[in-house]
Amino acid sequence: MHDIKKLLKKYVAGKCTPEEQRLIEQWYQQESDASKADTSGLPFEHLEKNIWQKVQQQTAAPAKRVAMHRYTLLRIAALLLLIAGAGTLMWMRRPVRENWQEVFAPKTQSLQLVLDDGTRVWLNAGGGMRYPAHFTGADRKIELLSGEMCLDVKQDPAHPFMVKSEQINIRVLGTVFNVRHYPQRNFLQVTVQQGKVAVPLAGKEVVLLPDEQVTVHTGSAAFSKASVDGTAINGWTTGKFLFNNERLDVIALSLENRYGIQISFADSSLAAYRITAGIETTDSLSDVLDMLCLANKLNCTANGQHIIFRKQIH
Amino acid sequence: MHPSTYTNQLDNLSDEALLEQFRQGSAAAFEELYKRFWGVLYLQAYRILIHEEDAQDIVQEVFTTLWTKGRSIELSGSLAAYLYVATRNRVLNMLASKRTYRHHLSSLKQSLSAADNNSLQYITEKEITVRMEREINALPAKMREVFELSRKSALTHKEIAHQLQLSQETVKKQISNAIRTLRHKMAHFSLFC
Repeated sequence: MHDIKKLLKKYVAGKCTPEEQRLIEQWYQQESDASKADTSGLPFEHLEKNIWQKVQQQTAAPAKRVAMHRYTLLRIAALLLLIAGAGTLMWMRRPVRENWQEVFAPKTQSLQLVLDDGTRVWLNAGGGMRYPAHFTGADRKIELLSGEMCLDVKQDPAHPFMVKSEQINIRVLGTVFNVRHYPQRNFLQVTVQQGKVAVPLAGKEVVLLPDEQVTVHTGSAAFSKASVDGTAINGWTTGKFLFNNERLDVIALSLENRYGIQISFADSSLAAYRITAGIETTDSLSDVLDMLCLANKLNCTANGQHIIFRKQIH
Repeated sequence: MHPSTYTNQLDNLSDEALLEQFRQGSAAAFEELYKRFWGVLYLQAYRILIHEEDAQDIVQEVFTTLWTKGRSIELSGSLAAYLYVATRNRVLNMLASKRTYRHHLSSLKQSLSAADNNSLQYITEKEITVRMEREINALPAKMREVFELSRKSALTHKEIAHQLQLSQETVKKQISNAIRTLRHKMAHFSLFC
């Protein structure tokens, strides 16, 4: 019997001969097949929770469960919780970036995260962001690499919240707001739904209140401020695109990301068309295109995944 | 509640893609892997040990190790096979180290003496997969559903695409649509609503 124990230990250590290995594995399968175990009555739900809790305790950084509290945005049907823990990061290759993580929303689907401090982030389809697994230091800083995000920032006056995008650091003062950054168009836009944010531009801080929006041309640092519907802009977080007097090229970016298509304009003046429209993210692409074209006297032709907008010829 | 806002894309990912996400720091990917595999691994251990606590300990160890060593694991085949083998090793180790499993050892001893070495084959990954499938069938219906959906959507895109002569992209889309439709019929999927 002692030999058998030794043999098993040897097996686990990977030091068996091939024959011994085959014998043991074969026996294991036969045991399993001939098992008299009755698994039908096992308390699966309880076990699942129980083992998970133990795994959590054993691992350095338990993934926190976020208790839902009342929040101002509509409920999202399901969440992707990426609550990162320090333990997860031990393997990051570049120690300098040890605490930082990158996440990219897939084409055609937005995703939602809850950050270390409880701040909620919606990252629209095709967007990318970087954020620290743990906020350390005096302020909470995240970075929008490209695309569109909506933030519901957890109040914490002692630790100001910053969103860096391009070279601009947006300072947040407890709020729900939206940032869009489309590097390919030199376009950066910040819209506030609730609360207040400050954007340093041209040497001074531009403060935005609810329903205010600033659009920056990142190439020239030119910017303009406008009054908009701050709730509409975050419609995509609840399955609606609400375009309120929005430029067609910006709408096109939303559609490109939502439907995984490419849009171009036969006539460059189309880019600056202002359009107001509301669509559901479940609407089919052809419905959406039909509606846009009909309402705005446009023609669009599809060439596979490539859509071309034209002016209607009268 | 809006179908299109359903954004948990983790269950459309293959096991290996989840592992990759986890390596890049996603705790959610780790949790998804746990959800997928804890049950089959538990059954695997339980069938041999017929001991709830010991089977629990083993599954817990397998996942704790996956968490701490996730970065350095080099998969020679599928993650499923890796987890199966990790569980098997721990079960065998337990048999060797706990007195309560003496009868297992005598059974093994008998097998060893009776075995005809020439007829023995290596256990292939394919066989492991078949066993996993069998274990999945022993899971309660609800768990099985999650598991099967995730596997069907993750593992066989290539195959289905090949069979139907469609692009993998198309297949993936159709499957995830199917999953989404189904999910909306199953209230228990909406985590926080």
